[in-house]
This record gives sequence, C-alpha cells and structure tokens, in this order.
Amino acid sequence: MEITSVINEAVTTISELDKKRKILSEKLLPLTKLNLLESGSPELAEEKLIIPVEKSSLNCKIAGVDSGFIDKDLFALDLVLIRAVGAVFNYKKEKLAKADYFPSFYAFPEPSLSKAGLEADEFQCSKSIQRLIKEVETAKALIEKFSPEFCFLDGSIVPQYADKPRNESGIKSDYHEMLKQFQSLYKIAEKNDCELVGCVEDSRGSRFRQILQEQLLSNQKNLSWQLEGCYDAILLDYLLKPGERSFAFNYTASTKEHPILMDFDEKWSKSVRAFYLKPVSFDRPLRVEFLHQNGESISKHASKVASMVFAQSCMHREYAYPSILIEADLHAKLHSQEIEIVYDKILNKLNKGFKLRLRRDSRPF
Amino acid sequence: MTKDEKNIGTVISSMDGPSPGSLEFVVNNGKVHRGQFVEMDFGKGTLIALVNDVQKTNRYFERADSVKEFEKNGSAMSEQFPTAEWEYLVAKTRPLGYFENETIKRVTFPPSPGTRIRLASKENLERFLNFDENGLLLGEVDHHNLPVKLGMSSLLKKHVCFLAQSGFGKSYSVSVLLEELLDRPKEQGRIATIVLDPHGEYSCFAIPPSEKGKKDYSKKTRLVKASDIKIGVPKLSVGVVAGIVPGLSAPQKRDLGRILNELKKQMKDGLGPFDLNDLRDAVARDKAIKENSKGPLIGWLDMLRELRLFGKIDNPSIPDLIKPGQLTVVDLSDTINLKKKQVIVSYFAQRIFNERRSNRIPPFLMVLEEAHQFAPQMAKSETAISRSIIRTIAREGRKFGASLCLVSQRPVQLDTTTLSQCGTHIILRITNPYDLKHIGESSEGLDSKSIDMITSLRVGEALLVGEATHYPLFFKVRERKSAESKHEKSLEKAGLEFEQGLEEKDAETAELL
Repeated sequence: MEITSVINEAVTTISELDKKRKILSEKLLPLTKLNLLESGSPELAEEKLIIPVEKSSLNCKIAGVDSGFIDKDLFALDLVLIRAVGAVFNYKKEKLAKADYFPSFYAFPEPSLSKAGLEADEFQCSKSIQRLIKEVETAKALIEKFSPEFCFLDGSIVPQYADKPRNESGIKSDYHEMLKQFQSLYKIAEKNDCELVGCVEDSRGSRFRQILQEQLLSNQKNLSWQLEGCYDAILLDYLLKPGERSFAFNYTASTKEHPILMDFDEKWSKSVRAFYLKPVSFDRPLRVEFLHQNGESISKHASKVASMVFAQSCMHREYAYPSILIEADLHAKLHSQEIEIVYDKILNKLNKGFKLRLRRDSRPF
Repeated sequence: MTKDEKNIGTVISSMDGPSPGSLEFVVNNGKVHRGQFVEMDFGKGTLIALVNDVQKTNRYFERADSVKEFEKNGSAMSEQFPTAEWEYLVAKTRPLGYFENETIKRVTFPPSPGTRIRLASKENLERFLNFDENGLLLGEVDHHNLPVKLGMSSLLKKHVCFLAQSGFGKSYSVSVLLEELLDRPKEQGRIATIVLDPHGEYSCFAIPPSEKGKKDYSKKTRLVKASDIKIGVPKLSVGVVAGIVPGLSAPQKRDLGRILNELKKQMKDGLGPFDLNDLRDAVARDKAIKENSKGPLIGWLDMLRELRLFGKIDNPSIPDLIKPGQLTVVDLSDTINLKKKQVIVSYFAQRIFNERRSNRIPPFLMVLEEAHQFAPQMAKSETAISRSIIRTIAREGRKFGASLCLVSQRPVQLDTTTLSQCGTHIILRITNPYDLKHIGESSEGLDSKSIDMITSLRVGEALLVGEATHYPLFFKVRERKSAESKHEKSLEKAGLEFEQGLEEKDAETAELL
C-alpha cells in the first residue's frame, strides 16, 4: 500500500471515530441528568454522573514522586538504572514559597543488575517491580520527613497487571515485596493524614465505561454496544467540560478477581477509588486515583481530591498535569549518558577485550 | 583559601568540547563574567582560559508557548514552579595556554570533563599576560582588580594601534599612554614621543592644568603649531621631495637632485641658505633640463610654494623636537588643507626616521592621530603623500627603535600593510561591521566571540590583542592624570561659550562706535 493512501485512511478513520464519539456523547447526555443514587447500585455511589469541581486554594504542602529507569542489554546480564525522586512544594498565599527534594535535588540513579536466568517477560516485569519499589520507598520517606497534606504519585496507586509475574517465576518474592511496600505506603499516608493521589497521564482504563454499560445502559443495548472498545478518557473528553469530574467509582468490580488487588489486604483492596477530571479545555481528562475508607462521604472526599488536582493541573490549557509531578519528572528522568557512565566504569575495570556489548550494538557501520 | 574553596565551576562535556580550542564549564559557585580569566589544573601545570561567553539556561523557560500559557493567569512561573533551582550558568571559554616548568605552552590536548575551574590568580595572570613591574600602567584587568602593566618594548617596539569609533576613548587611552611615557624615570630607559595631532586634542599636555588634582606635564611637553612650521629647503633631499611629490619622474628626480646639490654647494661656499623660490629660479634657469620635464617640475614646485610651508631653515629643528622623556605635540588643527597636513607628516616622519637611523636622536614613538588620513588604504599615491614613509617605519622601524602608534576611528580606511605591522592592537568600542571585519582580518588571535564583545564594550573598556600580552585581554583604561582636552567639553558648554564670545564682540563694537 502506498504511504499516501495509508495516511489518508488513517485520517479518515480518526475523523470518523471523532464524529461517532461526538454523536455518542450527545446520546449519553440524558444520563447526566439522572440521580444515580436512585439506582441503588453500590457502583454508583454519587448522585450525578458529572460533578463540577471547585479549585482548591494553594496554601499547603504538596509532595510528588516520580521515578525513571533506563536499562542496557549486555551479553551476560542487563544493567538497570533507577532514580526515584520526591519534590515537596510549600505554598503560601497561592504562591510557591519553597521547594524541597528527597533524597536530594540531584540524586544519582541507583544501578542494579538483572537476576540471572530470567526470561524476557520476567526481566521486563522485574525492572518494573524494582522501579515501583524504589518509588514507593521514596514516597514513604517523603511523607514521614515532610508531612505533606497531599502526596501525588506519577501513575496509578496500584501496581498494574503487567507487574505481576507468573506463579512459578523467580521474581515472585520481589512481587510480594512490592505489594508489602505499597500497603506500607498506604498505612504511612493514613497515619500521617496525607492524601495519597495517583495521576495517570494517558489512561487506557475502561472501568467508567463498563459501569455505564452495566448499570445505566443495560436497557439500551444498541447504545451500549456502540461504546464497546472506547477508553474512558476518550469518552469523557466529550462529556466533561473544564472544571468537571466524573463520579468516583471503585477501582475494580471485584477485588477478589482482580489479579493484583486480590493479593492485597482487604482493607486496602476495597479502598481504591478513581474518577476522571478535566482541568483544561484542550487536553483529555486525567484519571485520578485515591484511597477511600468507608465512613466518610465519597462525594466529599472525591471533591476534595479533585479540587487539589484541578488547582495543580489547570495552568496550561493544552497540558493538564499537576505541577508537582512536572517538577518530580524533571528530576527523575534518566538520560542515556547516565547509564553509559556506569557501563564505562564497569568496562574499565574488566580486562581489555572483554566482550560485554551485544553484537547488535557493535555493528561497525 | 584552599584550591577547593576557590573552585567556581566544573568542565562539562558539550558538542564543542572540551577541545584544545574550546571548553565550557558550569558555574557552581559565584559569578563569572565575559572577559574574565579562569584557570584549572592541567597535567603538571596550570591551564589559563578566557571566558568569552556566559549563558544562563533553565528548563522551565525553554518553550515560549509553555511559559506564556503558565503565566496567563497572572502568576509568574516562579510562583508556580521552583524555577530558580533549575537555573544554570554555563561559561564558554577559550583555552589560551598552560604553564609547565615556568614556560607557557600552547594547548594541544583538552582538559577532561569534570576538571575543576578557579578564577585565575593574580600571580598566574601577571606571568601569563607578560606584565612587567616597571611597565606602562594602562588600566586594570576587568573583574580581576589587577593592574595592566605592559613592558614598554613589548607594547611599542612592534608598533601599537588604538582603534575605536568616535567618542569611545581613543584619545583618552592614548593620553594615558603618553602620561606613562612622560612619567617614566630615566633609569628605566626613556624614549621621545611625538604626536601628530590633526585636531589639537593633545595640546592640553603643554598647558599647565587649571583643574585641581591634575598633573602638570607642560614642562615636559613642547607644542608646535602647524602655522609655525617651516621646512628648511636646504635640508630637503630629492628622496624627501619625491616623498612629498609622488608624481616626479626619474629624469625629474635626477635633475632636481643635481640642482639641489648645486644650491647646497653654493650655500656651503658662503651664499647662505636658500628657499623654494631660489630652487624654482635655479630650475627655471637650468639649461640642461629638457623643456618637457622642466615645466611640470616648476609646476610641482609652485604647488609646494602655495602650501607656504617651506623656508630657508627648519622650524623647529628635528633634534629639538625629539628628546628622551619629552613629548612634542604637532598641532595641525589650524590647517584645513589635508595635503599640507600630509606634507608635514611626511616630512617629519622621514626626517625623524632618518635621524634615528643615524642614531642622532633617541628612540621614539610617533603617535599618528586619525591615521587613516595619513595612511589611507584606497587612495592613489598622489593623495596619500605620507603613506609611503609610514609604511616604511611600520616595516623597518622596529630595528631602529622607531615606533608607531596609529590611532583611528575607521580601521577599514587605514592602510592594511601598515595596520598589519602593528604588533599590538588596543581596540575600544566599534560597531561598524566593516571595521569589525577588517579588525578581525588584521588582528591575529581575535576569534569571533572576542569580536562580538568589541561591540558591547563600554566607554573606557578596551580589548588588547597581540604582542604585548600574547593573549586577548579586556581591561578598563585607568583614569588619566592630565587635564582633559578642550575638545572634550559638552555641546551645551561649547554653545554657551560661543554666544558669550559674540556678546563680548558686540559690546566691544558698540563701545568703539
């Protein structure tokens, strides 16, 4: 196929999808008028599908944690560098008054070597687990040292499916260590009265859409069918206006069936909630996750979290992401030169002529 | 202070270096300025580099659209992000050379990234820049608080030039140099100085200052007005005349030489000195000269007579003008005729140079203000009478202790051959791109960054390039001790004085009537 025809086809497909989704969202508009609580479903814990959010005033201490990793495949093993960095913004009268960092403004990344004999998928999983452990450890230390009122994580506050190794895998113990660390983080956040908030940049979640299909569109099969395959963030991009959020919902329909949450203590597995927030006109909604214990009003709690995320993410009309996480990302991001430094040092200490580099990385031309 | 405490930065790895010709360092302690010198350990020695640019970077301000967006709500970026934490100062430097075993060597191998940088110490800079304890104090190295003391020989022997656009301190800087030469004690070796001054800017040296605190150089200065100058015709050789009248043909030169020799012989025989009229008459009377040669020759001599510059004896006499530790200012400001000025310059330059070659006068420095008028680049030899002798002194003067100091505001119009012979260039602010290009082409050791810096020099700041220091040096010209020239008065004051003069004249006329 010629490149121009591929481009034309892509443009047509995207435009048609956009048109369809607009029509679809218009069809969904009546749902926004419903009182969801009348349904009696535990999945629909807030009154409205779409809820306006008030921007919180910034007069508090907010932390953000991000991590970066970079790896280099070598012949006998793989070299991994991980850097997890926390930033703390102290706001006074809506202005940033001071910034602190953990472990420091510039932290040299921690190098580690992959476990011997891992399969390719296990190696990917192992790297991700190591990175999450470092990130969570940093978040824990940050909360204990600086007592922020909010602690933002870059990404979900729950490990992802891909982070779970096979049952017989050699990195299973690492996985359990990761779960331990996550639950320890939840506990420390709770103890320190710190709101743990996960912000997912480009979420591919579809839980919101599933709830719609199952709870609100069960009688409209045709409409429900049309929603199939649509990510939440795309669907809600049409439904939400800037300064609005979706209702908050449970992270999963059944914690016992969720591959990760099934391994958590029940206290935590049942407390993970999420909603989508649209902070600015020209960016997609942001998926926000937080921990909610029964007893408090979910609506009030979600609005409190949404207010802070909104205040932190509404400065740029084309880029909705909390400023504290932008700062943490600048510190955590790793560059290829950094792993080359470690690699060169290893090579220097080895005998001359040691064949460490992969053949595919050593092509002469 | 330990070496570590003196560290101000660290060499970083960049697209351009570190290389023997360029290195960058991140400033991690204090400030660094353009034109400052830094040093670093290099092998067993110390490498000196010149900071030729300083750049601030900040990741938060790299994208204009983002900055605008984040600030549209009225809050500055710094109120939303810790922007100050991300600000880095990167200094771009040019490695100049390094000391090893007390000798300065060229950098042929780069220092490693990670090398710690210090501000250059005074001791190292003094050695590196070839400063001389008994040298001429011209100013202070910018940001180093170090006096610029240049050895007289290293600065003047291979000639020096001062280049700047009008109003940026050429004459002021030259005056500082003149003061240093006049203040020089006999024991350190003195030279004579003659200034050929088209605007009378240096006449002030000959006048006791009325201002308090200003040093009086009048006793060491001799002022000669152009209107008082007479060139003694008996002292003219055919070579000198050919220098003044570039159109003379070989037969004309031969005939004129013969007639001059006859007149000189008659003078020695008791007829006394002769003048231009006598010479003209002798030429007219001579029967050996062909008529087609005689006519033009008489024409040339008439042209010279019209200048009213020639007499029976020299006034002043050359040995009176050139004395060690003395400044002679030849004030040409009362002469409008450029040709006459060029004849004076040509004659004095030739006579002084010849006298010096014969060791009848001391070594000297000839300061040529508005040098482009006397050694123009693009003029024909008929309208550039003095260019040839200036070129000769520029080429050969070094061997005889005859130094030139060229001063010009239009380097592009100054004779390239002459300019290229100047071993040291002292450049003040210049913005004209043609002049800058010309300077870049004629000044060895000037890189594009240094040329860029010339355009941003402030009044009194100068860049020195060449033999005197071996390496480019930015410095502040010191305050002058002598009274400033009357030309330096403000427009307001000049206007006021003019009108007061008119009123006085009117009053005098009224009184008379």
